[in-house]
Amino acid sequence: MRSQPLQRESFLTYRGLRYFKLAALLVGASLLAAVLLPARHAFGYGGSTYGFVLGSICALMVALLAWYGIRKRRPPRIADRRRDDRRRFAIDNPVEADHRLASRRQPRTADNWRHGDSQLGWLSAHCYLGGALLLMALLHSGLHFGWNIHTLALVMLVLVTVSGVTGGLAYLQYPRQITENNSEESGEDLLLKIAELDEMMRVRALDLPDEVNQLVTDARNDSMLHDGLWQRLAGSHRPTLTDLAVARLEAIAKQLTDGDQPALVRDLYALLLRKKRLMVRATTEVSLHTRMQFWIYLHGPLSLGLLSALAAHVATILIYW
Amino acid sequence: MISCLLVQLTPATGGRLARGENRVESEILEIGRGAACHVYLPDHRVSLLHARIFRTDDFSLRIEAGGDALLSVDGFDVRSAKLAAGTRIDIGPYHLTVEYLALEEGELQLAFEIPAPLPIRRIAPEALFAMGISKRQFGFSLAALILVIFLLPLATRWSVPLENWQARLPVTLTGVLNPAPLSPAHSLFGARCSTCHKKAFVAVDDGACKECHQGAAQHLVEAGSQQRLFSGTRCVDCHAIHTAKNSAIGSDNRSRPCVQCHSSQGAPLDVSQDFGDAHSPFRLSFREDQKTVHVVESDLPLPAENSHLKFSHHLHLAKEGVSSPEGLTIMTCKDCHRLDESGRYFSPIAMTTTCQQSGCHRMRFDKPLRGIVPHGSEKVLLERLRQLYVNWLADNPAEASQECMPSQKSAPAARHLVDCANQLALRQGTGSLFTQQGEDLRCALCHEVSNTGRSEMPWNVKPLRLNRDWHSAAHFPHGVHSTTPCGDCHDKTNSKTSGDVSLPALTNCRTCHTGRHGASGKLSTECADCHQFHRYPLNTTTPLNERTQTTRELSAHK
Repeated sequence: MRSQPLQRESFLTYRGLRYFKLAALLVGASLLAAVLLPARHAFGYGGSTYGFVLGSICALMVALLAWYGIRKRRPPRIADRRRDDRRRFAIDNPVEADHRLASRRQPRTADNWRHGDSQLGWLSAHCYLGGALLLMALLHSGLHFGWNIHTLALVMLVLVTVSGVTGGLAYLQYPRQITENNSEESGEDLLLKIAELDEMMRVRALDLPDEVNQLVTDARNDSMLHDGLWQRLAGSHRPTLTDLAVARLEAIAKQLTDGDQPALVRDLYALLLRKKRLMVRATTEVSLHTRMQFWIYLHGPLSLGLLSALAAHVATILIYW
Repeated sequence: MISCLLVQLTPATGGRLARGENRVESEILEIGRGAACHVYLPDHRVSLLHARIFRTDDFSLRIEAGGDALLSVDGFDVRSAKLAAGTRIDIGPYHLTVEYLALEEGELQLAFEIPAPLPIRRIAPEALFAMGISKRQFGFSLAALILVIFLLPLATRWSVPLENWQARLPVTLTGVLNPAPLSPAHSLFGARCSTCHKKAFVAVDDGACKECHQGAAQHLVEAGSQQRLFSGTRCVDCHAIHTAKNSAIGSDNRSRPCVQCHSSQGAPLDVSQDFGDAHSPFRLSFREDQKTVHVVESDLPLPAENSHLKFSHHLHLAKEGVSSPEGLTIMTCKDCHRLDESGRYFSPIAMTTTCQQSGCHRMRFDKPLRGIVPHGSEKVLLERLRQLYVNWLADNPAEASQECMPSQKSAPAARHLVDCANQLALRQGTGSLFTQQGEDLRCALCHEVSNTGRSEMPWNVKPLRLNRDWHSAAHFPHGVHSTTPCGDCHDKTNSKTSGDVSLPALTNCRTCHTGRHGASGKLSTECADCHQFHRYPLNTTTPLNERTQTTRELSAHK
């Protein structure tokens, strides 16, 4: 029987928490060494034997974790391409593929390289080893802090880790909120609906007084293009031109007489209210997407800063041996 | 039942429309983008169930909007409308036209054209990079900034003028490279890293230290042993300058180097690994003549201290008090044992400032002249008496003939006066000062006095040799222990002679102190807290502690 693709597992639970166990092992071994070493006070100074060994391990881990950022941007390796070829072959020749799969000791299923098993493992390792790295670096420092390059490297590591954790939490939280906000429509749908409402309002306002027509024209130009980063992150819905148009149209409608086409104004008012609701949803959509993306705008650059500070830290240690 | 023929017009090549037909039958015709709808209009602007067509009681067909969907019939926004042939229904981008309608048969023909997709007007940037925020620009700028800030101080490694210039700044460049504050003494030149770090990528060697610390004492007295055991040991192995804030030895690894040697088999004090549970018994240093003899505290009974002093702590620390000119006075240890300015040792006990300050122990004489002589050596005291008697006899020449035997006739009167004063001084010394008579408080009460047989100085007072460093290999700062009552460590209340040794045993110290690993409610104690590594100054065989002891002995006699 042909094996079915497995349900995709989370990077947090990858392979039965393989990398969580590895991270816990590293931290546990570091703590154990700090306690059990013949001279307990070997812990407490980065230049001690304990501190030096732990610092070297930490530096290698930083390089490994940074490599993940490079690796995921590189084209797939030959082995990954071959795996994709096998998958395509299995689609075209299912019987022959079954034989081949049966002959393999551990049949594995994966999508393409970028979202495949290998990448998921690297992501899982990136997260858990990153957390372990922070604890090990704190042990390496001996909790000695100062206004120097060595503490700066540690601070950069803390910032990178915090931004990374923020990103992990963002991917756990915001996709669900975006789905709830969108309801049946995607973000594209919302924008299209707003564009269509603008067009409908434009047509209906053609026969209405100039003042009303101007309100509709202004509301048509409503956008969030000029919202700043903090407004997008905050997600606060400040009054838009549509809100102003709704309020103004309410006042105008009260002054209209039968000859002023009140029914058309009523229709226009309903359309404006509909657009107002859509604008709120669109603002929320943009805010949620911004929050979900923003962490990487810190995590990536701070990682470069960390590499720079780490290089300066290591250079200083080696030069002033 | 409604039978509906759906006519779908699709744009084809040449501007023509391709016509597709499909018949659906249902009691209610559902229109929307939901897959279950009879009239399926796949567009985002169409609701899942946008509208439905149903028959009314009068067999007419009506269309009704679903939910809050927008429905336009013949150009008017409506919620519900009656259908007739030619009715135009606008649902999202679709324009449906009723081409044929047979009410009685319930037949309906709806035609609609697939609309062109509506262009999307962006009202918000899709991603942050569209707002001009660049990860790479931010990241590389940050990395470059950090490198520049920290590469500039590294340049001082190869530029002495730059290093000297920045050392004078309020905030030094090299400060950002310094992993921890230097010890106070080294912070004087702390901004000039090259003072100790002579070569890049080369560890600091002892040569750099010895540029200043030329006379640093060594641990062992024999130069050969010192060289053999410590040739591979660098100063910075123990003196972690960059982690020492107030100590010459870093706060870390203080005991490890000591334990590494002293815990090995055959090493001196090979059981001393930790003060808490593996420390050899105290060895007390006794002075015998010119030698120092070490006695283990467990070798009881301990020998008596031979200080040549007669003193009873029991008498002076009597609970009911000591008789003094001011009445009964209750004395405490601190009345006599006062710490010196360093707080580590006690000031020498001087007769005038310690024993005579309250009128006690005045050295009086009364025949034939009353007076008080100063405390000092025999010679000083005798000269003082002679001077007193000379002055007295000069003022009272008649007394000289009564007190002294007449001298030779040829001798002048002045000579007779001096001889008489000398006789009186010797008589006074023999009679009362240099001997103990009853309860009179005289020299021999505290000192060991012997006769010399020489007429000019018949007495010899043995010099005091108070042992002030019982633990010659360790130092004990009394100042930091001042909060502990003296009696907790030294039981002197029943000591009647100065030979009694009342030093605390190792177990006594462990009531408050423990080893390097610490314990609840006790002070963690490192080797260097009590012991001195650099014991023997170069070219000498006397430990530093014993040299200072000798110095203090001399000062105690003043």
